[in-house]
Amino acid sequence: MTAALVVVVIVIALVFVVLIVSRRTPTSNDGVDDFRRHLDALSPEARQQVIDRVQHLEEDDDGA
Amino acid sequence: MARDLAIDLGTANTLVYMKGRGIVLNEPSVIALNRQTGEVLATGHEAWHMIGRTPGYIVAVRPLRGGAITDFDVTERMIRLLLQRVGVSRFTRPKVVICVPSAITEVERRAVTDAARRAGAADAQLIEQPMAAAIGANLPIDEPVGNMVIDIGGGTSETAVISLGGIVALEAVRVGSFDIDNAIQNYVRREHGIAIGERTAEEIKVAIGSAAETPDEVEAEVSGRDLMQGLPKTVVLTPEEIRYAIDDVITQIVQSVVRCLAKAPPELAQDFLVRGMYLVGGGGLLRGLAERIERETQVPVRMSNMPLEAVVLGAGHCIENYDALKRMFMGQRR
Repeated sequence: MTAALVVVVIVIALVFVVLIVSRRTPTSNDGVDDFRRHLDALSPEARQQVIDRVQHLEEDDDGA
Repeated sequence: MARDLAIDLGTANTLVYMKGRGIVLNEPSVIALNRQTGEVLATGHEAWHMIGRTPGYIVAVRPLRGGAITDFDVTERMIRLLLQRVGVSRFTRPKVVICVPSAITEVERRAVTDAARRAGAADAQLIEQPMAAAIGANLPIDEPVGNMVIDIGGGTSETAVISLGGIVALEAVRVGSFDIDNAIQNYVRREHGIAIGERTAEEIKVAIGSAAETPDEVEAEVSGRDLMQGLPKTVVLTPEEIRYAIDDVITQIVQSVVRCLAKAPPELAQDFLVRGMYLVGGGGLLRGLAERIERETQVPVRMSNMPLEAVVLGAGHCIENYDALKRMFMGQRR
């Protein structure tokens, strides 16, 4: 019974270790994807939403 | 659930952008305190009207000078009040992105983030003002081309070259609009023998101040206190006098732009000639400044559509895309 419990604990610990290591080790594409996502978020199209929002507010203020 | 915020904590003005809402607050970075009890009496516009006109027990102060916190305690209280005014309570702790000068020291950086966290932010990240300004001015900084932005604020002037989402070259000086006001105050005191206040100096700058000769120049009558007799006195100031008075400050700003151009890689230099440089910040509104920079650098200078809001809009975009733009934040770069 105790031996089975020890085995279960070891297996769970191993699964945790594998999960942590796999999440910490960057795969070769991680940097590329991250950089691409960063540049996409900086594109004028992505930024238009923020600028539109402020311009709409200013128009509303002018109208009021 | 609190909405995340972007704050442009400027020496002159503070702007707050709320995620999903836009700019929700825009007012002077001034706080009025009861000197005896330490109680906050007013902030923003109300406190700005009190500058130089308070009885002895009230003090109206700008807690930031040169983009840096000069009084940690007062700044923390100002941030706390700002957060309260935009709906942040003790139970709703938002993520906050704060724009700071790029030349900020490690100690100053920690002072700003600590002030924000103690004022109620769950997480406080910092972003350099010129980077935020470039995002807010909608420059194509995601492309491999040189984008040059000049941000002239109340206490600092920063020039940055940005390409592919990162800063390539940067030059900052702790000189800004308030130094122009100070130069006017000193000139009037020295040459006309009258003392004028901070607000009057700013009004002179706005009315007749210029960095280069402009058409339709007019003179201005200025009233102050005669230093010899102590009585009110009025003098007439000309635009030439003001240009002379502020020339040292303008020269420092222009020289920092030239230094930044010199630091930029040669591949990007040709981009500046084609695309020009973008001027943002309240100081950029000084008449003739764009022309003066253009004349001395031989590079076209363009004014941003929203020069006063560009920085907070850029930080607002970062708060809208927090995860994707994490690498923008100071101390987060990988």
